[in-house]
Amino acid sequence: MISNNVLQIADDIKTMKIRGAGAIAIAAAEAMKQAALTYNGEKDSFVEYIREVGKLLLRTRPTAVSLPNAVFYILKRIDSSSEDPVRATISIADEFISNVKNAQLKIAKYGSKLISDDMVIMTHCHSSAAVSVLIEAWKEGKRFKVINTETRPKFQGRVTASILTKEGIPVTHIPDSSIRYHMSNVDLVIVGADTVTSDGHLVNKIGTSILALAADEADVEFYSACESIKFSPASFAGGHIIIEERSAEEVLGEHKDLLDKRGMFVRNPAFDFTPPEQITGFITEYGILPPRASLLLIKYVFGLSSGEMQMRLLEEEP
Amino acid sequence: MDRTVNHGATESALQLLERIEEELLKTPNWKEFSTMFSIFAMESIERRPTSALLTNTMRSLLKFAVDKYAEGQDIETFKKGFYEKIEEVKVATVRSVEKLSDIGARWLPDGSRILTHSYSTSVLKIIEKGNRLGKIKEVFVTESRPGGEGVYTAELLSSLGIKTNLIVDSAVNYFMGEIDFVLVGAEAITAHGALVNKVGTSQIALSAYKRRTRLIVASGTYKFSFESMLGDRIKVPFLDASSLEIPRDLLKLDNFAVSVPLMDVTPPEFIDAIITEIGITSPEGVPILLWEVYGGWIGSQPDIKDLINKLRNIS
Repeated sequence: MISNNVLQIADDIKTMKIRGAGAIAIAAAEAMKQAALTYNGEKDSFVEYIREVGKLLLRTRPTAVSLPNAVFYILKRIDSSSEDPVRATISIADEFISNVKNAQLKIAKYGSKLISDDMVIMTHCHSSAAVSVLIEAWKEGKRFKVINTETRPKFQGRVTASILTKEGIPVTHIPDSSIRYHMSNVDLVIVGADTVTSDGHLVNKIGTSILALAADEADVEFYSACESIKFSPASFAGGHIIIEERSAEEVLGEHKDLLDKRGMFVRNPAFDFTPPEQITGFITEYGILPPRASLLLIKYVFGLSSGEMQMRLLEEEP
Repeated sequence: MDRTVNHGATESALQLLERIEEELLKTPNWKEFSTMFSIFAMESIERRPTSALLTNTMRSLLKFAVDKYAEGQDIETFKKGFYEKIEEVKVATVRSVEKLSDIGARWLPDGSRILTHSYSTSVLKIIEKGNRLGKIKEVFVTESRPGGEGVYTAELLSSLGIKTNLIVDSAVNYFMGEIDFVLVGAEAITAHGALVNKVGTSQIALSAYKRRTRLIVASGTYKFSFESMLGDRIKVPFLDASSLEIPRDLLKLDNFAVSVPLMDVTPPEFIDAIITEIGITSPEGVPILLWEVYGGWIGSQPDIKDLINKLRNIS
């Protein structure tokens, strides 16, 4: 039987009590660890049991990317571990959790090397990884300026502007419509990531792709600061990334009575795709990766078969 | 926000002409008329320096006044003629929009899926007429921040029963694959065929170009600006932080600034065609149409600043 504290974590993930890629990944790993700690069945059937726990966790949020990565990070290493599987699960889960927690520090270290004095750096939305790169560079004494977008409809750019200015970094805040206008003064773009596919596409906050396109046109380097848990093994197995379209009210705000007009619709996609040819690199905790080499990172961290396993699971019974 | 920001160039110019009729025709003598008109002309051009329609209209009215004064016309006769001249310009402007929208609606393919940006009288007319011909499938409209005129455009189009999708400005690249062409209005078109229009136009154009989606501009020839051939540079006006409704706690932070350009410039290579009241042309065709409109080489046109100075000297 699966223990109650494992079921509780699964439920918290499912009901979105736990949010954000990092937090979900850590929670999933913690659940695997708890499952091992409370296991009291036959030693021989533990591997089968921990796979079942993995499946249970995967079903809580079928489209999340960091959750299956936590699960497969652990399952892949149990198989190849010489340790007792129960003890291996606990130590691998701990290792994974510590990796996730340290990922941003490493990303900040690698990313800050890309920044030099007097640069103008553009960013979009709010990404804690991208912000950590900027703050690290500033703390190292580099002096640069940041241009940041409002990021409609939810204005996450205001969060970024507030964090950076409080660190002392000069920020110029711009409407999303003026990205190309301002790009001629920009030296470097750093954004975050929601998901990265096996062929090197970046899925990120709506507007990222026009930013990348404008950067490409102006010959400006474009980086995505991105933990390894954002890479999608499922995309290697043919899994699609579904872009969520959110509510009309988010866009309309005070004008929501306009929806009464018979022809009126609002299309509000949360993310868009940026093609690898417009991305200079992914700044990950394992190093700065050329976008088309995404698969290398997926192979190294999660194993190439993890996507196939995930997709089969999704195709099985509900 | 200033109303001129929220309205299309055509609508703003028509409003301005009405104000001229209201205020200037009350002036009792040449001195007062010329003082007021020179200030009026300067201010309106300063407020919207990018609007070629405004500049072109002002140039023709200033020239009319300077010429009539030079002819020694008395103020009452002049005012009557001036009024007629303004009416003539208004009628010509409205007629141009009608003609270009007829041409535009004729050009529209069946089942058109269109992306438009901001607010444009000409674009609205084309879509409205196209809809009457049953040619419109759906329209995507950007919010067009700062200002958000796109919301108004979406309201007008949806009221006509046209399927209208309002989107945020940053989503243009996402939807480029779902549309057949981009249709935008113009603040000005330079002699080089570049388009000056509401900020955001140029990145829509870039996205369209990248995907080989056509970009069509609806613009009367009265929005063609030849000043670029005389070395004048386009000065893009900037708005302040209030245009973005920035929360006060963010605004008061040290190191925080905004940069909010009102217009941007789309290079001619991103523009497939310009629909004018004379016909459809390419950006490279603009100098040819300028010749047509001004009846010769544009260098022979009077400089607007010279005209204002001449008017000022009337006493």
